[in-house]
Amino acid sequence: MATRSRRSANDATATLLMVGTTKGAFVFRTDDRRRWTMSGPHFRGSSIYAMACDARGPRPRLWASTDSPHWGANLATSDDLGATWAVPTEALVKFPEGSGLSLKRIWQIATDGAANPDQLYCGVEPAALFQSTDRGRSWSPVLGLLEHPHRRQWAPGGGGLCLHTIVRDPTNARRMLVAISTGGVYRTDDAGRTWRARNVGVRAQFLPDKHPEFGQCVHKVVHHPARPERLYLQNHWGLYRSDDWGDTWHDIARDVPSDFGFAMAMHPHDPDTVYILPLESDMFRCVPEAKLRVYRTRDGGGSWQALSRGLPQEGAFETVLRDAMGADAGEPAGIYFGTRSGKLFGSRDGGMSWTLIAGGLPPVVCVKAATLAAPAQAATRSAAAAHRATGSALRARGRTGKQVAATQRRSSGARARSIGKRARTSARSAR
Amino acid sequence: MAVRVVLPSVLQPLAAGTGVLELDPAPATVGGVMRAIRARWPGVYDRVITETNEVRPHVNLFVGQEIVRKHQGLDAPVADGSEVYILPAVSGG
Repeated sequence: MATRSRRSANDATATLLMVGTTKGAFVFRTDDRRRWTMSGPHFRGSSIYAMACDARGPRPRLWASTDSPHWGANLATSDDLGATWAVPTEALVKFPEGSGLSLKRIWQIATDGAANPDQLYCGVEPAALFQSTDRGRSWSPVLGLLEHPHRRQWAPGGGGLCLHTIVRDPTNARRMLVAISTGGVYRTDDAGRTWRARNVGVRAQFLPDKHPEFGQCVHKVVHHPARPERLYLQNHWGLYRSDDWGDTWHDIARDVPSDFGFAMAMHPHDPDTVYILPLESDMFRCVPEAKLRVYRTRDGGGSWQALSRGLPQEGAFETVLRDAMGADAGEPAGIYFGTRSGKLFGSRDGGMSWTLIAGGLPPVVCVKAATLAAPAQAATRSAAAAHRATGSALRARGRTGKQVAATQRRSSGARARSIGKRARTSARSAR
Repeated sequence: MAVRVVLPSVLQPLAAGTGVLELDPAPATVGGVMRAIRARWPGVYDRVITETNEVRPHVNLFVGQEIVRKHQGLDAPVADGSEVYILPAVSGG
């Protein structure tokens, strides 16, 4: 998640893009949001559906969920901005014995606020929420949701039965909202002990009862910390806003070519500005008219405008998935998204114009941006340089015995190649 | 007699770098082999067996040349002196 302090282009910052694909993770870095360097693929052959940057400690820690088609799912960390990664020897996220459930995939990694610097959450498939209170050394399921009576009626969507969205209340540590496909939105107001379905007004196009208490296929929910009670929701058919923490939802799908889609991103500084990327339909999950357009509202969903400058406007049969769009904390805001065809686009002017940062990646399923302050940037640069110079093996510095290891060391591929020339060329053509 | 368990290279870092695990005394079944592995090399176990005690769908276990999934699964017998192979299935990438 992007740090939310506002930083102008003149501040000494680095921007980091964490890009998860179906065949590994890539980390892009820049000082000016024009020239990018890339490292990866990390975790070669594994799907990376969730990444996060935890900037609460003395140095940023990157998180990645690794999903090997053979060897299962795990969580990995990097304390040098992705130059090296540590993977726990034992899988840390596990369902309790006797639950009858086994972990298939980790879909979301979320940090808590600065008041709880050791607290982390992850959302998984089959749908459940896990919590760590020791910076990720150990994890346990949130039982109030694991044992929810609705669970037996939740059903998998196309991506599986996943808990993919975690929204915390920065003003109330006991409140949290999650989204499940397909189960809908659930909220706790008592720190996870009980959870109530919060789907009033959200339709379920695919059920006989179009407005059930739960069972909706919610694709993404976002909010802004400065106005946490206002939520925006991209549904499997439907675009909604709530001004009361999900108690009621209202349709805001005006001026959009389709209200079907997955991706949704919050502007880092403005609670009224949201970005989406509509798709034609559930039967044809490509952008409408083969034109790649981001839609932005700046009035809380009252109206939407297409943003297409620099994006392909013909023959673009592109799909952008639920976690494949993100924003940095720059001023103006940087907005980024990746496509299933492996293209990574970015805008450094709040979406007004776009450039191709990278093409030819594996299918992109996750894009997270972080804006890092200068000291961390310098420290991590040194670490990355040292790694490149020695070609060293992963050293699990300062880790417990459990976290030694890292079979992915070979894949962390510390090589970073400059793609600035391509980005600059693309920028010129977009003008 | 012992049972020898042959690991693919990707799992060897989870067993202190060794490619062959010696289990002595020999467990009677493949399930017993996996429980013995869990006690000494839990990282290997986690990557082969799920929380519901099933072999991961894209991992194959062999006793000698026989794939156990087609027969008795984790209940498949293991004779003294057998070699058990843990191998990734032809999938993924």
